[in-house]
Amino acid sequence: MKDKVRKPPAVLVRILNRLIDYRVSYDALGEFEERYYSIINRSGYLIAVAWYLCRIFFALPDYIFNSFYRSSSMLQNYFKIAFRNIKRHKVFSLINISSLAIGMACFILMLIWVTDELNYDSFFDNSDRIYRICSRGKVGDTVIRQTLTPAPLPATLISDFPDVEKAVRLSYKMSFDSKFEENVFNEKNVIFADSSFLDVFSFKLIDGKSERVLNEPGTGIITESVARKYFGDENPLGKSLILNDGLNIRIDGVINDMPRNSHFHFDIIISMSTNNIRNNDWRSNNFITYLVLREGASREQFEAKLPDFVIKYIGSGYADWMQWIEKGNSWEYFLQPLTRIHLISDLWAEYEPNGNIAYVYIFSVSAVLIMLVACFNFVNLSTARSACRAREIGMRKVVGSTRRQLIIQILNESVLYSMIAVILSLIIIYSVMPVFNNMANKQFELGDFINLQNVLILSLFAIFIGLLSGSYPSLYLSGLRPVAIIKGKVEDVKNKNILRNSLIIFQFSISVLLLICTFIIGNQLDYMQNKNLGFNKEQVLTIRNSRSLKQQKTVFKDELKQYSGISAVSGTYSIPGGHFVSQGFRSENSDPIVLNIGFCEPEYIDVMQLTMLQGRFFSRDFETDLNSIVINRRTADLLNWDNPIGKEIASREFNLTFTVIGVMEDMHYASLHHIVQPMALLLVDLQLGWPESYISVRFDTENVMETIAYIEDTWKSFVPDMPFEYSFLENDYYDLYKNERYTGKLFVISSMLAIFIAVLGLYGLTSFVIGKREKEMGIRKVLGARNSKIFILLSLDFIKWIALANIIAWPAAYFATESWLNNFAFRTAVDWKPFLISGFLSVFIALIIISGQSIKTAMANPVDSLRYE
Amino acid sequence: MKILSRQEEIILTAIWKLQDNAYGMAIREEIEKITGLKMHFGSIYTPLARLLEKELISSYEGDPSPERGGRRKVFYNLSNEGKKALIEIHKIETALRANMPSLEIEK
Repeated sequence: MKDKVRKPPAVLVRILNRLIDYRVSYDALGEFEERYYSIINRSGYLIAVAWYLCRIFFALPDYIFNSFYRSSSMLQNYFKIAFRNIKRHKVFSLINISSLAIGMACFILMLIWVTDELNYDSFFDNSDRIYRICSRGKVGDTVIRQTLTPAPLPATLISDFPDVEKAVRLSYKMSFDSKFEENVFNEKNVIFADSSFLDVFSFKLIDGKSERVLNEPGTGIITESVARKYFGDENPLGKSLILNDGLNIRIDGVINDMPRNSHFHFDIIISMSTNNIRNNDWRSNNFITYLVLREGASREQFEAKLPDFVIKYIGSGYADWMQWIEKGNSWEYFLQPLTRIHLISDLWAEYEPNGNIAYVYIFSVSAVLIMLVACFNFVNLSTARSACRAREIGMRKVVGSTRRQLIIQILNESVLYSMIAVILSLIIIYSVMPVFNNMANKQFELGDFINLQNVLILSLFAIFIGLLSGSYPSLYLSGLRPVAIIKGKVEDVKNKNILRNSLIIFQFSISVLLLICTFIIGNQLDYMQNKNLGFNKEQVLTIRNSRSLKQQKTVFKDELKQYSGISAVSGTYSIPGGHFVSQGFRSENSDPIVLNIGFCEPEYIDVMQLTMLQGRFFSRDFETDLNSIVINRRTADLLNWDNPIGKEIASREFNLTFTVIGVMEDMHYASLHHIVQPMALLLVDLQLGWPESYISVRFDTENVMETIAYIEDTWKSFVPDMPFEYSFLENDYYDLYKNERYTGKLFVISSMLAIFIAVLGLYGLTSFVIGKREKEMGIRKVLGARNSKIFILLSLDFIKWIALANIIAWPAAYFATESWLNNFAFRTAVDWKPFLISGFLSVFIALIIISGQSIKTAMANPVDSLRYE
Repeated sequence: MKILSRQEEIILTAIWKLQDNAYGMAIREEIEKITGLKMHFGSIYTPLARLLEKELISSYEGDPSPERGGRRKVFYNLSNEGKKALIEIHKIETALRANMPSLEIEK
């Protein structure tokens, strides 16, 4: 017989004790102990402990079931009381719930927006292995960062690197007039692409065989909407679209419309083989290249091999490459993961304006901040009401409620409030959605988000917020002392006040911060709109598809010039905000320079009202102008030319040399995000492969509509079956800043919301705090204080906190806006006005709230407040 | 009349059968002997607790024993209510099965 009696481990015994119903736990534990000893004797210590653990495991289901049963009866009471409280203090509860609901609505909307932004382009197969390869470098003083790369790049990458599985070249977006039978439309989203396009980008072919598309010259694929536009319900396969009355494209396939959350959208894709491409030309960068890395391949390793690649193919084309590098210049290729392009890419020649990951961060942070502000509000308001609930809590304690039960009760209430708030927030979101979509330039539908998973997440979120906001009030309220309460004293602890006040300060600082940012963003937007761009963007109309005119272009333009309301007409390949061709040139002293080339006519200077610094612009009087080039100031600076007139610049690419006839003032032909790159203009008559696509018209009359009508009539008389498409240059330029504009709008909304929530909080708080001092004010009045003195007394405290909030917010706002403004090559200075205005506004609004309460109290009849003393 | 679950009914019956010897282990063994069901502790103690709550049985403690670590053995016996319940059950059983067509399984 063993002398050593090893009892079951005390921890396990305690757990089992809690799990088994108290009525039989004594018996059961004894029973188990007996069995435990027999098992130890039979099978040893470990088996016995394992057996004991099994007892615990099997006791769990009943425990869980019973605890639900037990608590459900108490829950009924809690809910009843909670609803009664809401009804009794309708205004208070309304404020509480609505501020929570607004905070939640904001948070959820921001969450939807942020998730959408982070998921661009993720629907492609293997999207994590797809990259865009871009070029960047330092040529002299110019930094170049662009999407464009040379023609031979994809094929060479595949042959030289086994890690590169597939690659495809795309051209930049082009517009064509496209015709099928009687249907003619101007298509703006047309590209050329290699036959590997569908290998890299997994669009599904609704119609057509994927091995056969984009192979032969003169073939292409279109999207569903395009098919419907031209062919209705008929099968488009095998039929042809005629582009610009000259190019026949046979439709070999139809794909789905490209989804909204992608960084590019094309309607027609034509096979690259249709063009004659100089496939050995490493000097010109005119294609946008995407590649797919092999599974398991390391991006870093691949990128590390690129510098040698550059030297091998690009450097070898220049005799003095190494010296050029040593002088501090550089040229390299780099990868962009496809799914990150929308967020981080801000290169020259993007397909569409991208988003900005900075905004994603900003909005995530502000969403969380607003949610926090709403929660703080809730905490504040709940604890402020403690005086009212003190008696109820006291009674409950006296009757035997434990602290734990009280905590659960109050947490229940806040979860209940939170659930109501969530439902309210859904209603808010539903009604606000159209406005939100408009501002954020997206198309969200609330219905898209209703699925089981989201409903569950939403409920958990509501419960979490309820628990979070309720934690402090529950701890505080359950800790009140019953005797003191029933006697009529509610203690006013200093700590409580500090917490409450710091919450108000926090709320207001956030509001002030958002206000200041809103003003500054507004300033920057104004600045960008009104800055001197080096050309006059007003009163200029761009005819977008001038290629339809073909031979009749000149005559058409002459007709337009006859009109009195039109002061200048010029054909051009590139328009500000549009595409400029990037080419390598060499000056006469053999300095290489990359220029962005635009093609235009001599009248261009009048249409755009450019300023010449030196020399002259193109002119029809000089036949030699076909070999002339006009450079911008930046180019002259970079080449260190004080007197560029007469100097020569050569393009090896075209085997042509140009003479500089004039230097023009820098013009912002791209958005103000970028500094002005070296740029030059050539005559479009050169017919180098970039034909005239637009006609820019300057009109100087008030009768805009008449002028447009005249132009349209003239157009119809030349090409009656071609659509007349035009836009105003101002609007095109305005569109470049879409992103910033809607950021501005979102900031306006955010600040208004933050202020609204803060105001709600302040209102709740002041009504309570000032209400408590009613008796005190009553006594003061009786003793002879004047109304105004009482008013000042009540308000001063709050004003102090508001002032403190401002002091905190100003440096934070300064820092934040400075960093944002640095994104722009051209920006306003951070001015003192927004700060003052925001500070003043915050104090003003706060005063309104506070005075409402203070005046009421100050004017009250002391008799009423002191009646019950 | 309170409706008892089958579980509770079986345990109630077993306690009555065991008379003075109705404690946890014995109840379990008795049930296994009669019905062949090996019930685990949870399915004994939970119904026992419910029966105690409904006051159909009562418990009394016996002598302390070393095997139980010094605890007393707990015996259960039926209260008057419990006896009444058993009678009711028996009555219902008979009433239900009276005049029942015979059960035969077709081949």
